[in-house]
Amino acid sequence: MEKDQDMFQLLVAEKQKQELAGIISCNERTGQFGLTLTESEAKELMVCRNESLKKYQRVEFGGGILDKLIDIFCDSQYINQSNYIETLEQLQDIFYEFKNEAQDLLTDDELLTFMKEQFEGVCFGDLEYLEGTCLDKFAEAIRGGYRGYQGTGGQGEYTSLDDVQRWDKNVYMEIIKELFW
Amino acid sequence: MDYSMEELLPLMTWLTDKYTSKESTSVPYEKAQMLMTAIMYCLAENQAQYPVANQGKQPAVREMYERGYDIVIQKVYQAKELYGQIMAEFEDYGCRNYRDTVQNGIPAFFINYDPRFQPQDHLLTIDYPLISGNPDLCGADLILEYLTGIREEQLFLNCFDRQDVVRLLESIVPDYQELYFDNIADAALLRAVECFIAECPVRELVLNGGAGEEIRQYFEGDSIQDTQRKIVQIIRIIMPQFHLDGGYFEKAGPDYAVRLWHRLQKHEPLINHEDVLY
Repeated sequence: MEKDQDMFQLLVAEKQKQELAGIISCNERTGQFGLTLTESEAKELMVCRNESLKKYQRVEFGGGILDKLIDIFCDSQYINQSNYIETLEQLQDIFYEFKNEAQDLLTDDELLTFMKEQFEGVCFGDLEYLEGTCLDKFAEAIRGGYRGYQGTGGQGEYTSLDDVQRWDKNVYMEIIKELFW
Repeated sequence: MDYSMEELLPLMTWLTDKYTSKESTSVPYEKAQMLMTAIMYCLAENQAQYPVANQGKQPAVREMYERGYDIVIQKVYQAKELYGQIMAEFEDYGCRNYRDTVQNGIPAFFINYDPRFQPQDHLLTIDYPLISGNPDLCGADLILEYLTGIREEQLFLNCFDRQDVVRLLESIVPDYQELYFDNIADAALLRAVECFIAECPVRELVLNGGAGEEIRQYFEGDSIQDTQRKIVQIIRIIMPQFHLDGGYFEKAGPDYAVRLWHRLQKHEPLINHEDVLY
């Protein structure tokens, strides 16, 4: 087991060398949305990523998920320079968590598409709601045998899973009455 | 042969990409471990077939892996051909464990075996043991070795009348169809050795009334090593009579020697009354 751990540490170390440059190069695209990462911030993101990988007992190869995550979320209306790095750290942690929770049945793209859609729509930028409600329900459905996302690529999946009543006409009318009657 | 992580990493990355169809940049530890074991399995296959030369340039690890992978595929084809020969004249003697393992179980290997991502996993428990126990191997190596043994044993058992084998198994376990979990050829060979010592017809697997005493006298005062030597010698004499090479069956010698020697030491009956024909 110790030998296995060493092997994975070596794999992770080798990959880090190439990755930093890749993340910094994302600034060219994200700059138009007012989002940039310094080298130290990129390193911090990579450290957090490695912690998440360790926490969820996963090994990552190739370019990693960070640049894709940045690419997909950089145009979010709920991300600005002040919360950029913090949000990315949490998003990548959530991403690995739900790769496991969905038993690796979701591809990276399917999971990221679902995450972005709910983050912008249902969650209004609330990461806790994304993690604790939207992704939780989605992963539960997948573990239960749901495979509809394979045809949609993760788009428009939450509608059928969402059991929260978001519009209550009676409550609305009561408030209106309180305010204007 | 040791391989450095620098050599293995690109191969591991390539195999992981193939495993995830490039749709996932990360895999769980268990999957990474599975894929690394798959790589090491194929490299070991290559090394076994093409031992490292003292001189000359070593091929790249990727090339060695691919050669190993091809060897695994060849072994699966060999095993499949062998299995076809076995099933063409398969006789289970009514033994459920033998039938379940060989006739019902082995096809699952050919259907589900994954030489690329899990060549180390043979998928079966292989409950029916070979005469000298199942080989300490895994994957296609184990199945090929196992079927080679089963074929040898089948050729040996084919030398006897079915009813004689059935009677022998019934004498060991009356409800042998459901409850016999040992090797059938093992019982037949031991009985053949006993018949040889007691000068009974070896092909009939039947002992006479005085067989027990004759066997006792034959091994009287022998150590385990002497007993083993004598048994192996008898197997070497018997097997050519069946037009078989005794090499495979000699492996049963040590086990027979221990069993017989301890029974002799404890003055236990060497044979059951039920399996003696007067």
